Amino acid sequence: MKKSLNERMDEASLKELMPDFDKGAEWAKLSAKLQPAKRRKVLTWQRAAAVLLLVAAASFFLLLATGNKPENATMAADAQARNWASDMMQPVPAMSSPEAQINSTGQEASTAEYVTGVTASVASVPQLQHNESHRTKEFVCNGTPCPLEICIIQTIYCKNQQPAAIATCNTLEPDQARQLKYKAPNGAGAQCNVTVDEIRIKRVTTGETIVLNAHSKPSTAQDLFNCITGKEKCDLLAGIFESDCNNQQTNRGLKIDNNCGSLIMQ
Amino acid sequence: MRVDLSNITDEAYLVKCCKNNEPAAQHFLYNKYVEDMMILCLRYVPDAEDAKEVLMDGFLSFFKNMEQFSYQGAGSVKAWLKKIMVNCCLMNLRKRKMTFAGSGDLVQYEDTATGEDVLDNLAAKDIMKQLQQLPDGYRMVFNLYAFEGLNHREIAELLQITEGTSKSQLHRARAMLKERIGETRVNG
Repeated sequence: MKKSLNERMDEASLKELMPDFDKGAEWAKLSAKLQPAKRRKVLTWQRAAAVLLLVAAASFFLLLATGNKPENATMAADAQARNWASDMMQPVPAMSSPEAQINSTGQEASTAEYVTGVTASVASVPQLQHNESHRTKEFVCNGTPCPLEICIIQTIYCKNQQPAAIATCNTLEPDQARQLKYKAPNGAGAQCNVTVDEIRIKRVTTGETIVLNAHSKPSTAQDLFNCITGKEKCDLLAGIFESDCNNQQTNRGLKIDNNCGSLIMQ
Repeated sequence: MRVDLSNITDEAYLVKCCKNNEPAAQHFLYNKYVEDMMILCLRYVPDAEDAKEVLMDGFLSFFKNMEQFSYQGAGSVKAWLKKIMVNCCLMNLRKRKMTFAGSGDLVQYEDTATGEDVLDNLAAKDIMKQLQQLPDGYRMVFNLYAFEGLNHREIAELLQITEGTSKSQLHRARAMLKERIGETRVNG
């Protein structure tokens, strides 16, 4: 019996007509195209996880850097340090709103705090709030012609909490005098200890930053901290700026002393 | 509980699984029909790589539009899949600017020829070879008429041509096939 055209074609073998056709390979391509929605979901999660990991790693290195800055206080901070510092000071204030004070020229100055450490996890932030912001006993006067931002970077160690780094930043306009804010344990029964890791003094207009830490010379961060909190009489050189606020390349040492009552930076 | 689909031949159930994007069911239906569909694609699209692309588009469309398909008994899956593949082939040929050679002539053609007579006694491989050598327009109309069983009105609607053009394309296709097969037999 004669077979119809359709029957003959239906009975034909693809192997005979197209020997190199790979059914499996074609299915692999097809199934990859068939499941994009599922894969997109997986990718979304993978992306989210990657971002979280990246943020955690970046914060970890930031904390490490905050605690272990190389010795550099005898001179003005190098360009890398300046960039790093100005980047670091950018975050949104995390704990309190900026305060303002009126300086002698009628300009406003601000204070802001930033949680800087990785380990300042959500859980540890409420604990930080129990550690009050103190003000320096002495009024600190900016005797330089340029606005200065002074950031006091501290680590708070609380019982059963991960240590958290916090930066308290104060901006002083030229000729402005004010009490600077910093963190201190809340009362005698406080469960937390606070250490001073770093003090950064930045020329706001140029971004140039002097970084004082435990290893800096001739003054350490603790020296300056003791000075500005009035714990010690002092007359110290914090560092040297390479340029003034007009970016003029003239070295300017930043001296701080409280020998005559108020602490003057000049 | 995970269902082992390898032993299930009930297409209705497979369709239901495919509607739930079950890869095992999709694989099963793919394996069942891929060879037939590839042969169909090769009948319309002579270039093997293009035919594979069309096959891929066809299966993608088949699985992605599975929601719109309602199972209507044995053979309905294959029929629906074939319809999708033919449409994909048509789209591919349109992309390649398929033309209908000699479509302007007004000669009256008989509508009774099935097209089978010219391919009598040819094996599948030879049929394929002859079809693939036809111009796009001839091949398209011949395929739709002889294999898919469409009439000239349906072909005209599908290809957006006149019935006369459809008839002339079929006539020319048959004439060309006859001539070539005759030559092959004489030379062979």
